[in-house]
Amino acid sequence: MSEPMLEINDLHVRFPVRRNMFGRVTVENHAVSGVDLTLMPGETLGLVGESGCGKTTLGRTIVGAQEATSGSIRYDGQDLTQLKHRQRGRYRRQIRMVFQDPFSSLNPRMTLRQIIGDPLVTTGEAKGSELEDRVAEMMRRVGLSPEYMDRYPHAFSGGQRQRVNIARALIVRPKLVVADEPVSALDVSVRAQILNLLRELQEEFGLTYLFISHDLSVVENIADRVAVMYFGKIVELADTAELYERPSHPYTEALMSAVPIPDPSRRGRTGRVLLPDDLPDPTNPPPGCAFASRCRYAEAGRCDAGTVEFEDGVRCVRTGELELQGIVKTDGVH
Amino acid sequence: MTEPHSAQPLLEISGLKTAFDTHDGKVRAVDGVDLTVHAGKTLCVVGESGCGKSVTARSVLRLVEAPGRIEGGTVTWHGDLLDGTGESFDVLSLNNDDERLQRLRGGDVGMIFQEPAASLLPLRTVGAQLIETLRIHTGMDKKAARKRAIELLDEVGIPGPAERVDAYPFQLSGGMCQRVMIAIALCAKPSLLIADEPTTALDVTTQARILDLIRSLQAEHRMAVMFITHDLGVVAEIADEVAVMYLGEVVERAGVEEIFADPKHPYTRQLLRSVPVLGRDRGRDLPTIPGTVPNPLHRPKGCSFHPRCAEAIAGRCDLDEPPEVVFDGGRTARCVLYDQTEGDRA
Repeated sequence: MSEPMLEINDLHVRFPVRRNMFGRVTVENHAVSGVDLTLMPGETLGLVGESGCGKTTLGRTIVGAQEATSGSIRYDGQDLTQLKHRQRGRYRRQIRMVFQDPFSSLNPRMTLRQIIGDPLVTTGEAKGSELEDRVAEMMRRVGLSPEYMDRYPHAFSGGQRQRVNIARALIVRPKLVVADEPVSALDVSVRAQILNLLRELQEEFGLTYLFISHDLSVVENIADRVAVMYFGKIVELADTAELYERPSHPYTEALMSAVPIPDPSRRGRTGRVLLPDDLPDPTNPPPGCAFASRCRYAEAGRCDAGTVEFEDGVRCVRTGELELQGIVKTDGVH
Repeated sequence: MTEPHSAQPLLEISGLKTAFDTHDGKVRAVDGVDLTVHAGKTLCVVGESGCGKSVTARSVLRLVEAPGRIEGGTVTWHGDLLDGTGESFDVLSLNNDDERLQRLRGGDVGMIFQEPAASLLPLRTVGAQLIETLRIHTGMDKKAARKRAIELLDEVGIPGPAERVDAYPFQLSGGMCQRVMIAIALCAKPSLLIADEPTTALDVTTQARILDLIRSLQAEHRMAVMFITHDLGVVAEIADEVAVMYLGEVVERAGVEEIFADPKHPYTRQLLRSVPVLGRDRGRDLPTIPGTVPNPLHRPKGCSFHPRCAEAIAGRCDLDEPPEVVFDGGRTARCVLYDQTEGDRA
């Protein structure tokens, strides 16, 4: 068994929502609330959950774009949460992020040469013709023609811009890439290209991915293991096939069943779980399981009291008692 | 009100052309689109960005903003179908201040958009926005409209409607805002609901509930639905008929079962293959459609899909506009592959 690439222990991130007249925080939003997660070298860990579950905050905390409130993120023998700003430099190159929106995440006043080469310039790693060579090589690698080097982002489509984003993230040869919804904003016909590209680059550069997405079909396609996040906590973690075919948490089951399947002959199939809207208030988490208010298996007295521990890959007191339904395997449409 | 016959056309779009004048030239966003929405049925218009699906939807109610311009075609509203007293008319030929146009917008035709939070006024409560629409289209007094507004919020599944009626949009989640939009769109009991990517910005769990809601309201009110989306899963869930658009044109039209079981147009075929499907594509490279959707300013000559098409015939697809081939049962595909071979009327 190899050493983990990244080890997250009891990580908490809180955002202040309101302060009293003395400046003390009286209301806070607990976005990440006790996450333990391990990434193994070379794997793709999918992180899924609804909007507001804390998955983006978790990703941002890993790359250092967000301060952790408590807990640790161990990488290469070092706790990243304890680093001073200036000490982060080295890790900033090894852990990179690809953002969701290819339209707002590229500076419109910079050419592709400047955007992609920027990480090399700021670290002083390359300049002049070497810089140009490395940018050109990276562009070719992600499927962009180097002759576009002096153009501005507006001249490119969403898929091409996402390639620019990927090139910018990979040019410093990182080890870990946190990809936050990297294909969600893309045209459907272009998504497959980017997913395939991410897989290719992973092999070539030996990358480890944390792939954050709300799209369960995309995550199933790319991830080796999947973590399901709800209300700031990981509620289930398993190998992809296991998680999709035999979910152990009622929330995972509900998520799976909500995904529309492109096959009209299966319309109206039974087993769709419709979740009610009433999410708990993130500034005032309920006791017990945070999902209990929406869970159809919740039992009063058991699920709404005490702390629910994460055991054997699932955070649910009723696990083992429940027969949960996974996805139906499809030969699919053509 | 007499029950409309289920297979009768309620809205007929014919030869619709909508263009935008930009600094770089004229963009033909919608270029000769024919579509029919039948009473009580759901038509899904599928396509990627720039295919003109949203502009088509907005053109129906003439909501295209400058520099966009509707340049040709007809949009026939068969109002006579609904009750004995209505009439059929071409929406595009009406004057801007024609009372029939006002009645159509938000009255006979309800519309919901992709970003619910952006479509609601931020500084007015959702109740005030709902009450205003109710008063315009039903002539209720304030008190009755407020009562009805609370009922409507309850109907679309908003918990605590009596309190939420006084909430501002920012106090509600995206799913709830979309429900408010649906309540506003439905408050005048429209015969047609135009929904432009209403669930794209929402979580799958919320999406499932919104689709369920639209379906049940449709069954209750016998409403026709024109649903714009890029998500083939959603299409499979709700459509009766499907129109696939690419760069301003309808390339294929068929019943929902037909289009998934036997897609005719190469674009539809390749699109269905390239989308990851739960339980089918774990860990494998996906078949891709090469290239990207071209800028509509520089639409390829001939068939606009030919540069990306695996089945393109050199010397033919890159030169001539493909014919619209009509198959048995009325489905169509705009592609030379079926010309004279499989097509009935080629």
